[in-house]
Amino acid sequence: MTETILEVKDLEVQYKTELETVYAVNGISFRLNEGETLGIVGETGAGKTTTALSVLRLLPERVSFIPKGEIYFQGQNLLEMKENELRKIRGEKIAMIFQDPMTSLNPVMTVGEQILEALIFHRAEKAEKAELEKRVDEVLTMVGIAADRKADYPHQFSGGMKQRVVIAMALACEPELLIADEPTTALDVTIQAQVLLMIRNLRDRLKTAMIMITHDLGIVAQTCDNVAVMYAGELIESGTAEDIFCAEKHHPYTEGLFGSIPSLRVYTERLNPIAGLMPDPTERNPGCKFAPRCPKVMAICRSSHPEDAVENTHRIKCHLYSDGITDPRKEEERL
Amino acid sequence: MLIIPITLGVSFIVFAILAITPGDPATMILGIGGTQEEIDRINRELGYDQPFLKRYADYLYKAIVKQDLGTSYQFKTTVWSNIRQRLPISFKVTILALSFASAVGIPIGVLSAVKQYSLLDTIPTIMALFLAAIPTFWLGMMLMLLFCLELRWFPATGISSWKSYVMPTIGLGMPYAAQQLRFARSSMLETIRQDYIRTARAKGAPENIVIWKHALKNALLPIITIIGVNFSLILGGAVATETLFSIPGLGSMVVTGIKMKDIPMVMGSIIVLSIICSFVILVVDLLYALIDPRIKAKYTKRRRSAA
Ligand SMILES: Nc1ncnc2c1ncn2[C@@H]1O[C@H](COP(=O)(O)OP(=O)(O)OP(=O)(O)O)[C@@H](O)[C@H]1O
Ligand SMILES: [Mg+2]
Repeated sequence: MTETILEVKDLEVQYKTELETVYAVNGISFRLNEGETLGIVGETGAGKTTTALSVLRLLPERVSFIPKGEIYFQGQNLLEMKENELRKIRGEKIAMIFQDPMTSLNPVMTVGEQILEALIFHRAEKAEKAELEKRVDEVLTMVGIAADRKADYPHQFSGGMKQRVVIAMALACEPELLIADEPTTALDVTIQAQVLLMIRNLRDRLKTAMIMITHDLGIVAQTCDNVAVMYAGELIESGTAEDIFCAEKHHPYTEGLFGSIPSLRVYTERLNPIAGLMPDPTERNPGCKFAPRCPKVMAICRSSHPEDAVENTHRIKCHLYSDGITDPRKEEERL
Repeated sequence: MLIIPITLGVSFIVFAILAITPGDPATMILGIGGTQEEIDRINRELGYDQPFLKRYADYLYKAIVKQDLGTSYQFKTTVWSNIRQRLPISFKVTILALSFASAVGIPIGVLSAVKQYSLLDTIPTIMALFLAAIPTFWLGMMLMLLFCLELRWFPATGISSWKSYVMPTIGLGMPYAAQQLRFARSSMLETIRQDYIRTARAKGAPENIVIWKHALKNALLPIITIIGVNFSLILGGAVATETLFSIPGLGSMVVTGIKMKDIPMVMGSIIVLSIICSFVILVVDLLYALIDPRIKAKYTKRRRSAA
């Protein structure tokens, strides 16, 4: 099973407001195989949600533009699809779990209705209403919520339970691709682990391909086959989980990310975040986006945009590796 | 249960205004021919030689304890029988105007929110601004000139058939349609930006379900409040329109009542109107609870703890 299910090619997304243009995603490419999980990590504002929404074509109308790029889902370019074709894919083939469970359920509809709706949109011709109702009970039980709570409204649920409902809704039609946008960020730490475990188990059982968006490298290590590190709208490093977690060479930003995880063995006074902020997304500079914060910055970094250095599955967008990732000479010269 | 203090407050204010303004009932009843003696006699009979607070207390005593709103000075019949005759007409006009306003205002408001910045948005918005700025009375007059006197489609005065209701309904409802349009638009614009709307789209919901089911049900909450307020305003605003179209409703009766110093008639009408308006506010609260489960939960919880 190594059929490609999703391929994003050179995607660019911009938000245009009257005052400025936000360059949210700047030419990213990645590929996801059936049944595999891709983790997208990055700081807040890196463009993760924007990328996810472009795949579902749910970017806010009028303010967002996709000037360039292709998104192939099972061989079809989603960016060229008509609205009614997209509707058949949304919810049925690609489902999304949104970042904030508190606001992503409709407050005036029961959770049962909201899950049932997803089924009605895609299964109404094939199945009786009673069957669909049964399926609602089934998915609710699957995510660990008693089926008799389906007549309740979202405000009667806790945050963790709401997220479970959102997950149940996303899985109701057994999608082939599940996009989970920081599914646990808004939750309590104790609940985070539960929800995460549940998502992993369900994914394994249903063999769904998944994009797991997070800024938590721990989550990535536990769930993902492949990892893409996003910074200021670019994928600055990508590869298999092994490439990211075990290889010697990394993008300085990725190293910084690892450095910001509190370690159990080494006593640290406080978290070790990367100094500085992400560049203003309304500006486009010629050099590397990370240069202003990079501890290993070179003269070339400020003037020219780095290309990907590739070694098998591992890609790094950094001038340090412009002669290849395996080549250690560059490193020595610099020192 | 705000009905009682509101009604009492309103009745006191109206009573005070009627007492302060010049003129006395006896002069009005007798006309110009009455002698000073006769005037004094009738004023004594009606209790107008008593101090203001005593009069008010007597009035309340009769109205509340004996449930007697008194007798109209102009018609010599009981106030209640007059109200019973005229209230249904005013009520009908109000309901018609309100339905017209909602039926026109809300859907257009929703559409212009959905098609924000397009012609479907700008044209209704500009028209709504115009209508909101035009006085009801003037609009009614223009409508009457055009459709009743010029085109002769509808009768200009009185209540004879359903046709008689058309002009008052439109004349009275139009400004409120404009108001509801603007309200529905802004409420809808606010709602369609919400996350759960995106969730609905992500499920593959067709656009009309997203708008008319997911969004409208949420956007309706503030709109219902406005409809309730509009009801009171239309019922009150009917005074002008009823006078213009010579509709024999409560509004036109209050106007002549004030002119004639027919204090029992005015008081009775105002009290009935304020009770109705308070009642509508209550109904709106209930409707609110019906639509918004979060509010319903509050009500049921209270009942549970009370039980
Ligand atoms: N509707 C919008 N209009 C204008 N700019 C936007 C809009 N949505 C997002 N942006 C901008 O696009 C950039 C990327 O935002 P995005 O939501 O994709 O980040 P993210 O990686 O998901 O962050 P987080 O981890 O906080 O969810 C940010 O600079 C953000 O300010
Ligand atoms: Mg996000």
